[in-house]
Amino acid sequence: MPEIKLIITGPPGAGKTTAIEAISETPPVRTDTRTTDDLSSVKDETTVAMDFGEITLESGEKVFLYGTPGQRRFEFMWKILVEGGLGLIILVDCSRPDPIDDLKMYLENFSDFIERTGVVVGITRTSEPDAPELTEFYECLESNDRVFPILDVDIREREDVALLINALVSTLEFSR
Amino acid sequence: MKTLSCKGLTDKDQLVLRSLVDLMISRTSDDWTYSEEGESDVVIVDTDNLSDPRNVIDEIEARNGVAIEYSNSNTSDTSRLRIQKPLRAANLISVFNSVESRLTRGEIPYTNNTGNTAGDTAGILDLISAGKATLLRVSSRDSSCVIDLSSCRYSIRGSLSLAELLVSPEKAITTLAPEEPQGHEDDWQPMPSLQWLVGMKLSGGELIGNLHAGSRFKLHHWPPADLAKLEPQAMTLSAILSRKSGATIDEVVAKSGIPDSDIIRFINGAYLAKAISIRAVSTDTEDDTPNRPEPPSKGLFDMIRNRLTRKPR
Repeated sequence: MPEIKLIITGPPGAGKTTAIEAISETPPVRTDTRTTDDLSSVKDETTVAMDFGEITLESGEKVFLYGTPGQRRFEFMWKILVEGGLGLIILVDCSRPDPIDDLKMYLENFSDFIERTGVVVGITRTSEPDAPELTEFYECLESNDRVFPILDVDIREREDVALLINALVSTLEFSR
Repeated sequence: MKTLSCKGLTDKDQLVLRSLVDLMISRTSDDWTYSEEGESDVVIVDTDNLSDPRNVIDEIEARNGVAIEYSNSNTSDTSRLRIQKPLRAANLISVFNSVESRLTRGEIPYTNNTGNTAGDTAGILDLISAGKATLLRVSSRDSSCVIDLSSCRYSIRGSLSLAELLVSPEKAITTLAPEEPQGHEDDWQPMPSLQWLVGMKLSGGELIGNLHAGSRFKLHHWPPADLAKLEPQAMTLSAILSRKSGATIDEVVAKSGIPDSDIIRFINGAYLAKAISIRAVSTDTEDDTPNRPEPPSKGLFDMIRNRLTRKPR
């Protein structure tokens, strides 16, 4: 039985580590280091390799959750982490300067993986004054005539993380 | 011919009211007559003299009568028509013309209180989808809600939740004129999925008027997260209907096992939310996408869903 593996990606500070903490039944394994670049004004530590959590199914099988490092300089890790993955969750942080551009960048970088599997997009911090409307994110997807789930979520809430995974599972099961 | 009665008025006010009705008939567009008994079209309620005027008004509105508040106060926290004491012919004529104007515009009342069958509420969805109803008042038992569909917000009072109120068998729905104050302004609650929810909950098993059951529906936007939390089937339905070629209702039933009545509710909601369109033919090629690994078994997906609905260990 191959590993059941879900990948969570997104820009630094979007909440990937927080999402895994919210849903994992074991304390997540983290590979954080102190931030020393521009990101230090946003967060004290950042993921450099991956975050890892797990959920145990009633059959005893485990679903592994991998959080990628957010910074592009660690993008070599992205390809490694998605290998054998079931699907992708992209978190987009509306407090960043251009969240739609962020989404495009992640869709492009993970396009091969998304084409083979499925993706769901979680939009965080939507109460920010300049946050784009959800429709603007959908317009960003329209060019390829595909409709991915885009959900406004509070990633600190287990229920919201569960909703993203549920949407991803539904996409994998029915959108093909 | 429209009938008028009163509740809680003093004998003196009743006498004045009867006299004024006789006098003002020539000044109103419709014929009005005073009624001692029975369920009249309009009831003037003396809110100062009744111990629980709210209940009286709710009962009137529940049977789709028009309640007019009659009070010493010149302010009100509701959007109802009102007359300040003492009774004056000019005030009465003005209020009655407003009643007639509202009735002419089809604003009050919309439904009768005969239960939540398709015929009772399906028409309101047609009005909403045609842009002719953007502001609604839904009342049932001790609860009342003003729904502002254009701004995706609502204001509710009473013991029922919005979802409970929308499916209440005793509900009465009234469309309101957008320019009028609604009386709930301080209590507005935003709800991104409001149109979607109203479309789903007010569906009576039939598609909105201009949709056809044999059509191929294509979803362009998934429902907001708040709706997905309320309606567990929304994820499955969204996934199927967002395929490149969309799906027919029969195809969705076959793929998901979800009853067609629930699928119709979802499509109505998506239609009101402008999240769905009609596709002419199937052009689906996703099944043929090369290099797609065989998906895991359905059993695995079900197990993951079940695990997500359980509390963390």
